[in-house]
Amino acid sequence: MALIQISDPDSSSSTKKQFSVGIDLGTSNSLIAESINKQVTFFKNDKSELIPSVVYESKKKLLVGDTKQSQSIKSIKRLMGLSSQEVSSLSINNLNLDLTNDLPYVIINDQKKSAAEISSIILSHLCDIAKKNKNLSVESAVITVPAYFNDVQRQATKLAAEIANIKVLRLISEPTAAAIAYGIDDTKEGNFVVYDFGGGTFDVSVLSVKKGVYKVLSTKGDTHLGGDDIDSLISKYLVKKFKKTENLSVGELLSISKDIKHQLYENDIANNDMYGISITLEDFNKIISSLIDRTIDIFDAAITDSSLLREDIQNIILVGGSSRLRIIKDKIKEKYTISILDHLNPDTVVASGAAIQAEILSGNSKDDLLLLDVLPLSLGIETYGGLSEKVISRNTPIPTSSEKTFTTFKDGQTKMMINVVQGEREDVSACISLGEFTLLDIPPLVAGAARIIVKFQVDADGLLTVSAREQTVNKETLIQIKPSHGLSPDKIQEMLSSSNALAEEDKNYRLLRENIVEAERAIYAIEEAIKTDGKDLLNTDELTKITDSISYLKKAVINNDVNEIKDAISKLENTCEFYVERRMNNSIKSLIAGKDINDII
Amino acid sequence: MSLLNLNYFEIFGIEAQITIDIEHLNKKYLTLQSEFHPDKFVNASNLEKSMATRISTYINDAYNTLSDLVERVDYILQINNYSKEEHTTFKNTNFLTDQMMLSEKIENANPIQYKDIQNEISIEIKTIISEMQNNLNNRDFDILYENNSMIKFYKKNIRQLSV
Repeated sequence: MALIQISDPDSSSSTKKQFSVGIDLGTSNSLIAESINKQVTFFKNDKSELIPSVVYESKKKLLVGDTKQSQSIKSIKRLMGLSSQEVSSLSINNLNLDLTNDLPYVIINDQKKSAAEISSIILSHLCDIAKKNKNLSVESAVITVPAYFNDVQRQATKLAAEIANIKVLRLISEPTAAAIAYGIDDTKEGNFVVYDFGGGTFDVSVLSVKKGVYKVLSTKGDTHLGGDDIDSLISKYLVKKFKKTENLSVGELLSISKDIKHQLYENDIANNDMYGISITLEDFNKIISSLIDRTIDIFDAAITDSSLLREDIQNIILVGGSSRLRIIKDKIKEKYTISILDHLNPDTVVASGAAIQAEILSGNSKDDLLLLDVLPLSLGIETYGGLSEKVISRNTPIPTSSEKTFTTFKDGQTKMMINVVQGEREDVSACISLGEFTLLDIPPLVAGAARIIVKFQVDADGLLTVSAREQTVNKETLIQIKPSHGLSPDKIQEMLSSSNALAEEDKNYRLLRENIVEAERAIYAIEEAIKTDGKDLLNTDELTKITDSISYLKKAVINNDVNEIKDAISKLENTCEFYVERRMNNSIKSLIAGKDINDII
Repeated sequence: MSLLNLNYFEIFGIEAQITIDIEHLNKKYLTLQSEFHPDKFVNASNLEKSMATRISTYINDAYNTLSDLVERVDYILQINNYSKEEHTTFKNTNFLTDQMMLSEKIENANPIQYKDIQNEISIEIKTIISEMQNNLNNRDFDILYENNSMIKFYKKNIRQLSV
C-alpha cells in the first residue's frame, strides 16, 4: 500500500505493466529472466540461459559472451568495489591491469575500463537479449549481489546498472533470491539455511519464512571464494603431476581444470586424453577438501549467529553452480541431519528469485511478499589508536540508522574528518575503509562546544549515506566524501556521461520523460489524497498552498522544460511534506488501534 | 504530533513494561513493515520513498530495542528522562564482590559444570526481573538502573560460558 494511495493495483489507469526483469550478475555466468504470475522465463542467447560474464574486443567494440576469445576479461565480479591495492593482493593472473590509480583498471587492447564499466557492458548485453526476445525495452530490474558484498561492492554494482541505464528496483542478496524461488515453489514455512557457492563468491544466509515474509536472521560469507579458486587449485596440481601440461598457459590450464571439475560432478573419474590426465574423485576431493572446510566453517558461524537451534531448521538449500561438488553434501551430512533441498537448478535459481521479486516490486503482481534483509557487515568509525567503534552491528535489519555525536577539540575548528569502515575486526586496518568524510562549515566555537550529530543511514539496498548536523546552531553540515576505492563523485559522473548506452539527445529526452512521469505521479498522488481526506487533515490556507503548487507543476509540465519541472516537483514536495506526514500518522494510528492482529496478518 | 515522535512502545501499541509479549511484538512488527517497508514504495513518489525509509528505519530501531531486555529497560529509563550519564558509577559493592567470585568460578570451572552455572545465573536474572517491575511501578529509577546494570553483568557471564 502506498501512504498516499497512488492507485489500486486492480484499477487500470496508472498501472501500466512495466517490463521488469531479474538479473543475476554472476562471476562466471549471468542470467536475465522475467516472471509473469510467478512463471519464470529466461531470456536465452544461443539456446542457453547462462550468458558467460566474459567481455572481449572485436573491431574496437566491447562485446559479451564468447568464451573462446583468446583475449578476454573474465570474472570481473571479483574486482567490483576493490581498490588497486586490494586487487594487487589477490594475485590475479588472467587480466591485464593498470593499478597506478586508486581505482583499478582492466586493459583490453588499447581500452582501459573500470570493473563497474565492464559489468555495465554485461548488463547492457543482458538487456539487449531480453529486448530481442520480447520486443520490448527493459524498464527496471532487480539485481542480485552476494549477501556478503560490502557497501563499496554494492555501490559499484548499482553504478554499473546506472551506466547501463537500468532502473534498479532493488539490490537483493543472492541466497535470499534463491530462498524466494524455493519458497514460491513449495509454499514452505519455517527456517532455512541457504548455502550459496558460486563461481567467485560464497554466501550463507539463515532465513525465517512465514506467511510471505522472508526475514533474514543472519548472513555470512566470503566474496573471494568460489569455483574459480577450485579451478586454480586443480591447475596447480596438474602442473605438478602431469608433465604434458607444463607449457600450457594459465588460461588453458584453468579451462582444463574446470572441465575436470565438471566431469566429477557426475563421474568418479575424470580424464583428459590430450594431456594424459586422469584424476579420481577421491584425489580431487583431497585437493579441495580444506577449501570446502572453509565454507563449512562459515556455514556453522552463520547458524550460530542466527541463534537458532539445529532442530529449528527445516532445510538446507544448496544453490550456485559450485554446490554441485559432491564433497559438499558429504561434509554437510557429516555434521547436520537437516534435510537438503537441491531440486531446483543451482545455476538459475537466483535469477528466478530475482525475477519473482521484480514482478512483485514493479506492482505487476497482486501477490505480496515482504523481504526483510540485514546489514551483512558492521559499520564503524575510526577512533584514536586506529580502533573501530561500531556504529551499526552486522545482522541488523535494514533499513536502519544510527547517530553519533562528535565535538571539536580546538577553538574555532571548522572542519573534522571521520573515517568510516566496514568489517568485524577491532583494528581498522583489518576492515574495509568506505571513505573519509570531511565535515565542513562547522560553526567556529570554543573547543568542545560544537555538537555535531553524524547520522549513518543504511537503505533497503544495504547502501550507506552519511549526513551531519551541528546541534547548537542547528545547521546541516556539508560533507565532502573521499571514497577509499577511487569511486569519487567526479569519477562516477565521468563514467555516467561517457557511457555509450545512450546518445546525448536520447539521454535528455529520457530525463524529461522521467521527470514528467515523476510529476504526474506526484500530482495524481496528492490530488487523490486530497479527495480522500483533504477536508479532515487540511485547513483552507494549507489546501490553497498545496493546490497552488500543483498548478505550478502542471504548468511546468506543459512547458516541457526539465529544470522547471524538477524545480516545481521539489517545491510541491516541500509544500506537501507535512501533509504526507499527517497521513502517515493517521495510517499508523489506525494500525495501532486495530486490536486484533490476526485479522491483519 | 509526528509519527516519528511516537515512542517505541507506542509504535507497537504496547505498554512500557519490563516484560512484554514478544509474540505480539513480532506480529505487530511484521504488520507495520508490511505497510511501511521501502519495497512497498518502489513506484511511489520520491517524497513517499524517503518518508517510507525513515519510518521503516524507525520501526526497525524500535523493534531491535524492545526485543532485548537490557535495551528495553534502558529505553524505559530514557523515556522517563532518567539520564544514565549522571549515574555511570555502579555502587553496589556487595554485588561487585559477588561478580568477582562468579567470574573466578567460571574461569576455574570444568565445561561440564557450565550448565549448572548457567541455571544459577538464570535464576538470579529472573529474580531481578520481578523486582524491576515493582521498581518501575514505584518510579524508583535509580534502583531500576542498578537492576539493569546487574543484568548486563550476568549477560556478560553467560557470554563467557558460551565461548
